[in-house]
Amino acid sequence: MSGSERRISVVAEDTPEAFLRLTGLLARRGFRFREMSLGRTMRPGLARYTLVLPGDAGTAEQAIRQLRKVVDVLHVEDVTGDAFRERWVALIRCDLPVKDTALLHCLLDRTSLRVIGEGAGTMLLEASGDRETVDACVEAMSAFGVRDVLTGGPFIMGLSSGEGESN
Amino acid sequence: MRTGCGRGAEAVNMTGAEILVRMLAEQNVTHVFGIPGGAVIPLYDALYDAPFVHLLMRHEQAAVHAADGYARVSGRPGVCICTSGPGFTNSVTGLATAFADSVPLVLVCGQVATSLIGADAFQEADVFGGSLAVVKHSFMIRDLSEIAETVRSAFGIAVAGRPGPVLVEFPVNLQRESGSFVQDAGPSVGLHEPAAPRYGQDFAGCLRLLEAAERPVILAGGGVVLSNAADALLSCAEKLQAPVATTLMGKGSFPESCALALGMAGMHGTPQANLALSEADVILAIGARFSDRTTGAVAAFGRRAKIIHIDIDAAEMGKVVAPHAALVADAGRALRELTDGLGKANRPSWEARVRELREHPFNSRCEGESFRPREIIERIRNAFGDAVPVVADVGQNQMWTALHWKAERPRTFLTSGGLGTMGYALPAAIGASFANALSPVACIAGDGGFLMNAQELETCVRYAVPVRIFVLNNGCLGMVRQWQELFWNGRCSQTVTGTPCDFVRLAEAFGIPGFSCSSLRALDAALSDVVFRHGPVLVECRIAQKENVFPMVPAGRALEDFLSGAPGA
Ligand SMILES: Cc1ncc(C[n+]2csc(CCOP(=O)(O)OP(=O)(O)O)c2C)c(N)n1
Ligand SMILES: [Mg+2]
Repeated sequence: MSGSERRISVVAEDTPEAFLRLTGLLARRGFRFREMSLGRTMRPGLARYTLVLPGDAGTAEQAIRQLRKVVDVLHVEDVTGDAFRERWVALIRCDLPVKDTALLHCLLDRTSLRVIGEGAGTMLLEASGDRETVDACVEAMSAFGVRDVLTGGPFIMGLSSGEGESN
Repeated sequence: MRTGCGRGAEAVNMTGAEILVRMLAEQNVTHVFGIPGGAVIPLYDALYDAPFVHLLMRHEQAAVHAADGYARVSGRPGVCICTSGPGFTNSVTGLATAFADSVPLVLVCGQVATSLIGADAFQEADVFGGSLAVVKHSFMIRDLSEIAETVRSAFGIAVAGRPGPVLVEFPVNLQRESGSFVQDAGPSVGLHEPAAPRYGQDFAGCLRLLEAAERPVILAGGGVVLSNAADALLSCAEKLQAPVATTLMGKGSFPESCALALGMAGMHGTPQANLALSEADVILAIGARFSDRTTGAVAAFGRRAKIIHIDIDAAEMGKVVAPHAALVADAGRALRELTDGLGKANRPSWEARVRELREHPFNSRCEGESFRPREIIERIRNAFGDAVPVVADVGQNQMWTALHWKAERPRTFLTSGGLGTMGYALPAAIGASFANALSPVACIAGDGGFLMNAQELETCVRYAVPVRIFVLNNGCLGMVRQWQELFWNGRCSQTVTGTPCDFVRLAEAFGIPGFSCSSLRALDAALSDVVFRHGPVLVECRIAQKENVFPMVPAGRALEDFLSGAPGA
């Protein structure tokens, strides 16, 4: 995991207003996050945002303290490190027919890539895993006439229960 | 439709507007400042029978500033009302001003009917989006059942922790709609309890640094005023035998006649404050946020010192200056606990040095002038004593007031510190006067800033508000002119206007007695009249255009590198 970025988890009200307050605050104060995911947990009415923020733990701590001031934020924590696991997803659409079918089958066997549908002359694949895995899958597929790629994440969860989950 | 859960209280049929007014009354609101409009007519109809006073202002910005002045003087949230669209957009500067200075207030803002929101209706503005960056929080009322809870939460949030402005958006159809309402004693909900901070709890570290200090200086900010901690600050400073510098917002937190007082620090700070901070080995910054106007070059700020930072806002810890000991706490509580924990200090050499620093003379040099800002401010201050609040506008007049108006008590020195909003003083002075049962307030403004809210002269007259207005007329946008003169080769682009108008006749046009003074003797004569007037009065002080504010730390320089006068003067 890159040392120059931190993951931050934010549990907040699941409303467009809360979303704008969070992102507006970060943009205003110059915390230019690289990635953001919005997910839902067991608790209805709440959303969990996961942000990837460039910078060191000190920068992340400043962002965390600012985020804690947002009234519709319930919990913020730094979720960087070994105690957490993260998942990213990519959707990839490429042309059919595939020229090198042997290579494709090899990829489908050995990686998390899988075909999730076919259209007129196109095929849709999905990859998931940690960021390196997903990036590698997208990279590998570039040999196949890729038409569109969408990557998203991260979703992060702690291996053991954390404070953000109990309240 | 029912709201709340009864507890014996009887259900009554009320409109949304009536419920809102009832809830404002529940918050013990005494005065609200505002201007009606299409999207708040039902609300104004309910205000017709309200048990509190509504004061009609002449601009929404002024209404918010008035609520702000009311809040700063009373310590209770100010309340203001505006209509949708332009009413809201006019209020934004007021909100931003209050937000920058952590002033608790609640703005109830009209909005078009819910069915029209998002349809570019007449006088529709994106209130939520437009206020996002200038409020502590905002609410939109979407149902009658939410009104009670929303108002309680808005007031709760406005005063909780670090105070700030809260906006309540109220669509006009919900103001008109009626339903059965039960005013239960329900708690304000919707507020998440903040988790106890896991950092900034280094009370022992703070004590240790203070005990070991040889040259301690306290830097007191607006948080000390907000937390009503002036007495605690005085006890702490005395026990510690530490001199006290204040920020601009901290003025009033420490009696400036006290032997330990250094006055204001920062860009236009006193030499003793800036030098003491530069020489200190421990700086106790409390309720202060290390604004660039206070610190000068941050890298050089307190470079010989260990810094203790105490503030109620955890996000201020390490935002600008990395403290050696941090305590996230209410200023009053922290000061009392520190005072209890400290032994009586004795540092003869530092005390001698502080005495020496306090004798450092300073005044702006302006050869041949006898009607000088310093003397003007001192005369006005002496005429009013230390209990009358002063509201300073923005610019040179503000800095002269900050430097020379000896503030002795908290909540008697008001100014737009963080945002630096020209036009703040007059409307804020109106609010300040209402907060003190219509007692006198001094308002000091420049010729430029005064004209930014001069329409409020009419409000002063209508309610006979005893605002004593002093316009320091230098015929220029003086503070900008000063920068141009000092740092832009004297190219005074768009700042020198000459006297913009006849201020006396302007006042008289509103029915306000006006005086114009060009000498201290004339000012003394005017003052002896002014202090006994019942309603508003305006005194124009015609001062030299070339007067500058000194000392001055040029932007980006260390605090001790202040100019005492124009280079070469
Ligand atoms: C609303 C607003 N516009 C512009 C400024 C920039 N500004 C700061 S001081 C100043 C000059 C103020 O002139 P005046 O009110 O005459 O006061 P003086 O400095 O002459 O005492 C200006 C234009 C400001 N602070 N606020
Ligand atoms: Mg001027």
